[in-house]
Amino acid sequence: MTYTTDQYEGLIAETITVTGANGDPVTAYFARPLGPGPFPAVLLIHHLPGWDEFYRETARRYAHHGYLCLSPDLYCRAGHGAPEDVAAKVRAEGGVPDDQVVGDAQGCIDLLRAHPAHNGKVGVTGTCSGGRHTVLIASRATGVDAAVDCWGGRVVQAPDDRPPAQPVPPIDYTADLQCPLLGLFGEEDSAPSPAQVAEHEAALQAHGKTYEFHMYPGAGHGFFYYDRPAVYRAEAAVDAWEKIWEFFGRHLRG
Amino acid sequence: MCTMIAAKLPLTAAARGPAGWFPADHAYLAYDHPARLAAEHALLLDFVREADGPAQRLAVELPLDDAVALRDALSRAIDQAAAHEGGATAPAADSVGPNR
Repeated sequence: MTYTTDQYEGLIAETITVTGANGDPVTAYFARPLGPGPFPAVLLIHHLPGWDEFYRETARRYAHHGYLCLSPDLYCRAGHGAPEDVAAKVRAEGGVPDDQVVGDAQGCIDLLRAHPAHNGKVGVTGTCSGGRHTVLIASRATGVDAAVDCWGGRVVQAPDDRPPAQPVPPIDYTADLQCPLLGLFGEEDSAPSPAQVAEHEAALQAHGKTYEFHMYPGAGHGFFYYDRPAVYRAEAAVDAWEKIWEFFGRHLRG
Repeated sequence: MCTMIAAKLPLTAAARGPAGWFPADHAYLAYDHPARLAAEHALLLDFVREADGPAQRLAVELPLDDAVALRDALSRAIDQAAAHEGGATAPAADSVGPNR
């Protein structure tokens, strides 16, 4: 999408409630361009440190680029407070159950698909644990047209890593992956490690899936996070964002 | 959960947060992404009172080296405390026993 200085632009962003897994009310941040559309949609899944400001800013960024963007608070059942406080509670409880995440995501996808300004296409993306959830949602929910996994850890889970909340590694659902997948990873990341990314790539190839993986040298986990100087890698982030716009543009605007 | 290194244990402790003292009934331990420390992973230690909601928390994020040093110091202090209690409590227990 090319911008010109003389074009009209506006957006609205607000907290709404979505019906999630088990009919539960799930808090979500909805950012969308003003106007009748039709606009493609992106479901944005937050990371392990919680439903924080980075996700609100990223939702508005998607809206700025012409997407209806919905970001649910997957931790809302644990209570409310500062995002890191809520995340600490969820972490101590073993994380959110995968089945619940898929149910919450389905509620969001259904809401986006019913929106009058929607063009009929939905992408899903997330970073960190949200990258893992992205792969899971693109395989187990319905109505996903493109997915972007940003350094999702535990897409590949160790043999002894089968906790009750996450009993099946997302890689085991590769046969069910319903859409093209873009993967963005850092070579210095340990979760996922380059070896785990290669294992995921091999599974995608074995099942004949459409995917693009990019591994950035000099980058580790979280290289988009401009508020975390220790992990932010500007050059990799700029390139990766360009790849996201191209990928979602190709699969969601057509 | 990127590492799945996490634990939760019950306590009967007192902790002091921004709002003052509170009874801490659980400790959360994890090695995962910190919220503030400039590192990809850190040892995350929280003292909470669960009934008060997520905000009632005393939180520390430690680099792994610091966590190891803290563990060792805690170990030494606990050993010294146990020895101290052993020395102090044995005679006291004897002095109030039913046969005295």
